[in-house]
Amino acid sequence: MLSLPQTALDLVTAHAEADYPRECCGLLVGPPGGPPWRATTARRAKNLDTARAQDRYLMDPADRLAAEEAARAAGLAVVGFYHSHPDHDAYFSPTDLERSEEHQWGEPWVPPSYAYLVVSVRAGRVAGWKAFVVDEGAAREVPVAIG
Amino acid sequence: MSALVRIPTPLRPLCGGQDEVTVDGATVREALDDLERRHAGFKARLLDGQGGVRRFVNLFVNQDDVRHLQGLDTPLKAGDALSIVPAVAGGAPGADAAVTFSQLHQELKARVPETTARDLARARPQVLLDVRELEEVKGGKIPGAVHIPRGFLELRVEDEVPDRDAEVVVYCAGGTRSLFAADTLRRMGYQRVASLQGGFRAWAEAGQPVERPRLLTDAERRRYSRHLMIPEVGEAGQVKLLQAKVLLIGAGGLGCPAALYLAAAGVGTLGVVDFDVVDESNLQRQVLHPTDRVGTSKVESARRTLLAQNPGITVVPHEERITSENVERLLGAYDLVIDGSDNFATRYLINDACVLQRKACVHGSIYRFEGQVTVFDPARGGPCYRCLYPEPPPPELAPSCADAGVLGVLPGVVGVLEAVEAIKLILGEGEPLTGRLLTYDALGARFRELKLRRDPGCAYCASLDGAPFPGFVDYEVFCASAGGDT
Repeated sequence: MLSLPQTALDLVTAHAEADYPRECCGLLVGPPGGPPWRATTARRAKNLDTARAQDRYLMDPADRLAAEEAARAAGLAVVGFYHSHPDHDAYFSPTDLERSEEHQWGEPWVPPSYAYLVVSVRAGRVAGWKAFVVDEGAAREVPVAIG
Repeated sequence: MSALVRIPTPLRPLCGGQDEVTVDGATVREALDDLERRHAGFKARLLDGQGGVRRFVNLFVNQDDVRHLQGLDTPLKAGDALSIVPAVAGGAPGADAAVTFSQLHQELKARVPETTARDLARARPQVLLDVRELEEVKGGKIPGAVHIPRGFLELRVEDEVPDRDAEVVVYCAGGTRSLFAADTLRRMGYQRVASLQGGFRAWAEAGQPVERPRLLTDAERRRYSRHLMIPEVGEAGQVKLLQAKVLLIGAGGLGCPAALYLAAAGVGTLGVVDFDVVDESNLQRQVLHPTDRVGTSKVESARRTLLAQNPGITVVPHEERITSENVERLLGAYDLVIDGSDNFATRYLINDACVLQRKACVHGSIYRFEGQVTVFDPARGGPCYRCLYPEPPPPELAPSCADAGVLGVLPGVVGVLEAVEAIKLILGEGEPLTGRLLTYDALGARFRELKLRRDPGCAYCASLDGAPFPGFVDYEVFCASAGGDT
């Protein structure tokens, strides 16, 4: 399960709609640990894949490092990531799976470490979201609790 | 020297759950070696088979990516933080559930850049693409637009717009179909595509100029259907042919076959200059003139035969001898000249007038079993006739057909080659024989090609670069040879 307050979801929504029709990406920050993952806030990152931003993202590692350090300083941690699917449903695509952190570390599989929030944007408006974890090389949906 | 390695969450089980590990090492490589000594399993995760850092792994020393420093040899100072930051990436699925037209339309409105009629009027893009159906285009289009119906867009656009960096504005009647067309072009790699908001309607309502293109009639479409199938001709090319005006010098051995094929091909206006009457000895090769026209005007005979072949064209007979006095008037109304003359005086005269009027001259000549063809088009590069022959040869070296005889079918070959060159020039397709002399040896059945160069001392070609035109001369005196017939 991924839980996050409405304020954090609002940050993600605003980012996804602002960057539409390009994919946006960012990080979920909360108390260390999980499952279950608990995000208290969200933080934007740059999508470095500008050439294919309509259907790809590559999170800027410098933004990720900055988020990790800020979280650590506050006694928090990066507990997940978010990205948008412009004009597509909220689901974990084959690309999302292959380029998730856990999948890239490869076998032997590392334990599910992050929650991945995927936001569907249709015609410029967020139309839905789902969260996934990567477990033994496969994606598994987990419930999202807002509030 | 001790540094701090920051461990990403998934790898923390390797080091007992710690989020950072203190290691010793003067460089990043040594620090990783020490990390591996303390907690086995890290190097296999971080490095590839060749000992380099895996592509998705980023190593930062404090705030700097080691790829921008010295890689694994980046030095470490005491207290430096070495962070392991994996790259996270992903992307939308390739396939998706079905969407409705209005969803698609909204998506495209958000995704495809649009331009307005006002902006379009202010700055013309490199390519303006009309994707409406033919019936709609008949009512008028934006001047200069290229027409590819939406249904043929993917098939034809690479031929019409080879440059994928070109700035393209697509329009349809109202601005919807052009959104879909523009989206397709973007997917095909065209980088700078926009759709015209409100389409042709908005353009016309804004009072912007509209062009009513010359389109083929149904009868023309049937008659020229084999041309329309060739991409190099097509509808646009056939319209060019129908709008072309070609002047044939001479309705003789070369002019007859050239004119016959140009008429059949639909070259819209054919002028024929000849002052002679049909002679019995002409019938062996001058295929426009049947036996019962012996003794009648050649240009009138040519007109009757050509119009019988193709009543859809205009034939203009010029029954006069071409001279320095009338040459500018005669050539003035035409785009292109086919020289089928049989004497040097006329050839020099035609050449000089073509240079003056910057017109291409398709040139052919024949002798017994040998023929030659070239294109003199110095205004667009290549030599003129004078570059090739600064002075006429003595008459005994260049006898006319009347003196030397000719194989009747030979001018057929050469005249038809002249017609081919004329059509290429009208269409702007292929490589014209500019700067090349094609020779045909009928007895040996051999074609050869000679390169022709512009004579840097040619005063007539120099007039194209701003020097004064040397003027017409007395060509009879210049050549001192009277013509016969071809």
